[in-house]
Amino acid sequence: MAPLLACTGLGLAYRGRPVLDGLDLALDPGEILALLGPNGAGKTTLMRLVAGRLVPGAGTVRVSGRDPCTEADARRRVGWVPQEIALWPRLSVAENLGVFASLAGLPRRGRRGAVAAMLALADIEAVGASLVGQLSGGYQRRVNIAAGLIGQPPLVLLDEPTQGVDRAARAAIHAMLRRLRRAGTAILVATHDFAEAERLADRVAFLRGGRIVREGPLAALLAGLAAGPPERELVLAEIPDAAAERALRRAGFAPDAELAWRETGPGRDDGAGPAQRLDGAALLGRLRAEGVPVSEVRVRAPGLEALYRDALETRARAAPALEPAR
Amino acid sequence: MIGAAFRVMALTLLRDRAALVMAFVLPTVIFAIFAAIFSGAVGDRIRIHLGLADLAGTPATARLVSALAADTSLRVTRLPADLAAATEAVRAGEVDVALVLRGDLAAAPSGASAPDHPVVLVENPAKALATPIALGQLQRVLNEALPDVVLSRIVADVERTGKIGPDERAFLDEAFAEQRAKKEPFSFSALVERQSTATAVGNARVSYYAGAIAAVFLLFAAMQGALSLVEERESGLADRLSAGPGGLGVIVVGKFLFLTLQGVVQAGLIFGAAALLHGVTIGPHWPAFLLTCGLVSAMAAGLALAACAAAATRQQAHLFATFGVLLLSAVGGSMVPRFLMPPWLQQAGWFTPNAWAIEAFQGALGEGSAVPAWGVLAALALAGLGAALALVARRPA
Repeated sequence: MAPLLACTGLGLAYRGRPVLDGLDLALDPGEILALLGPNGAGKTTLMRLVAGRLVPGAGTVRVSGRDPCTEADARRRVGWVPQEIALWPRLSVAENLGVFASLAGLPRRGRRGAVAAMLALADIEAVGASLVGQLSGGYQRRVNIAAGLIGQPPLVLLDEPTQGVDRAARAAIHAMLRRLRRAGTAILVATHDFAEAERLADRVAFLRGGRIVREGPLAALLAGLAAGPPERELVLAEIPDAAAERALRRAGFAPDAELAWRETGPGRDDGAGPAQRLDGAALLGRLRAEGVPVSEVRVRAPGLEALYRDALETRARAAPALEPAR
Repeated sequence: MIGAAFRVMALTLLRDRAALVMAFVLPTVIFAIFAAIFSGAVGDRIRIHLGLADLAGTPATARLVSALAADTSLRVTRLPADLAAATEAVRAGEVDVALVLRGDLAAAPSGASAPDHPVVLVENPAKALATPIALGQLQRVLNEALPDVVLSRIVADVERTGKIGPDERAFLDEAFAEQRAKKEPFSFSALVERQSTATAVGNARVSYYAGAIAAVFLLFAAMQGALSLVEERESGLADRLSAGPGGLGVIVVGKFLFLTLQGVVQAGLIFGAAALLHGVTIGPHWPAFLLTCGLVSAMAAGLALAACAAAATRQQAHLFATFGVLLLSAVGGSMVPRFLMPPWLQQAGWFTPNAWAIEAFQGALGEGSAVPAWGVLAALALAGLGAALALVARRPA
């Protein structure tokens, strides 16, 4: 059976610079695919192509076998939720949804029911009569998503759906997306939030320089990751002085944030000794003896972040990628 | 789908009280102010402020002063009997122009090569228009109120040529005095009869002002409404809507219909005020009037949407909304009637929508044919809408 979304050899250049370059992607009903990649990797451009907003320079996009660029019926099957809060601020939540229902082509009779159903799905019934411009960021995000779902499209494109929202709103949005998946909706979500992708996605795809460099179910990708020890991170009580910095580097750590140092490789006993990885207690004892203000050692199994570094950052160092533009 | 876009425009306007007031209260207020300005500036009620100083103090100058003071088309202020004081009054702006009566009007001209004028007109170059008006009013008042004085000066000229003698001159002066005493009009003072092209009282003059204001106001209001296209583009809404099954085209058509309806209501309010305050008769002409309102509103909506669709930024759209509309309105006769402009500018006015809107309203209210103007307005409306649709349909690639 043909997938709901099929992108084949998709390419697009902007002012002579490639943004997407021979991209292949498929998505089936009831599946969530997370798109990960640095800014400018082409995630939003891919979504705009699938939404029919851009014409591909090469390759094809098909939604249920139809071209969204030229066929309104294909666009009707896609719910696009852009990164911006693309709503009318002076209209109430219900009025906004009503307008989007009309624009999605729902018959007049069914609109009221569709709006009520969407208010329930997004858990925003309490603010249905409120003006969108007066809502908090979390509610605006939920309405923004609901507006893209009102026509009950089988394919939903979400661009950074939880950007700038608090934990509660994020959890509510995730719950809504899970309900959609259970109902058979296919979801393509672009995000920078690894935790979000780990919790939601059935599959992840890493995009870099307009190409998908790695793609598949998260568990399978992690299994394929070169087996290695757990990741370790040191949390410092204060900014280290020069001597403490030297001690940290000798132990195989590099700064990740002002007070956080991440292990990047094996440490050395001294300037000439062999590389070795100390266990947690030995590491802590040695660093404290050398005056490093360590307050915490964190250990975690390799996850999406490690996969991301392996898929994108390691390869980027090995071979500089195309510099894409949005 | 078009109805949804219409509903968004309507709800957005209804929720913004300031915009609502500006859309439906401001038109009548602006019209009332502009009508007062226009009727004072170009109507038949121009009342310049005339200063009068009677240095001669003769019976003839006293009669002239009385006649000028009694004339309703002038505002007269008596000045001290001093040329320097009159000059200072004009320079200081206390009066627009001053007449200093320094000689006896009835006295026979001396016949010298450099005649000693009995009346001095003191003018201010900054108020140049006041001079010909004052001179014209002076001639009219002399002809109507002091014809015997005018004739006696003419007879004195003839006497100086030797064609008539002192006896004949005395006879004529006596005849003029008798006619004046009997208050019988002199025939030359009734040379001209005024006839108007207006078919109804007040329609022609006020319908011009109302049409002029309606044109400029509808263009401004349509630009304000069409700015929502730019706002929707900047907020990402346009992108989202254009990816919908109907595309952005249905949104533009919905906005066009709303702005057209809004314009019809605004034009109706302006002409309603014109009917109420100035007696403009719309009743017998209502089908043509309604059609004109619709076409002018559609023209304004179409052009505004095209301008906003073409504008890359909100700043560009604002610039067009202010300077563009002001320029079109100035050249098109919405601010100053085109007949007061240089000929080349009068011709240039035909390239503005304002000129055609004014023509259409005047024609619709029975002052000529509105059909050519209707054609132009319809073409402009369709061209504007078509351009807006074409511009929003462009896909970035």
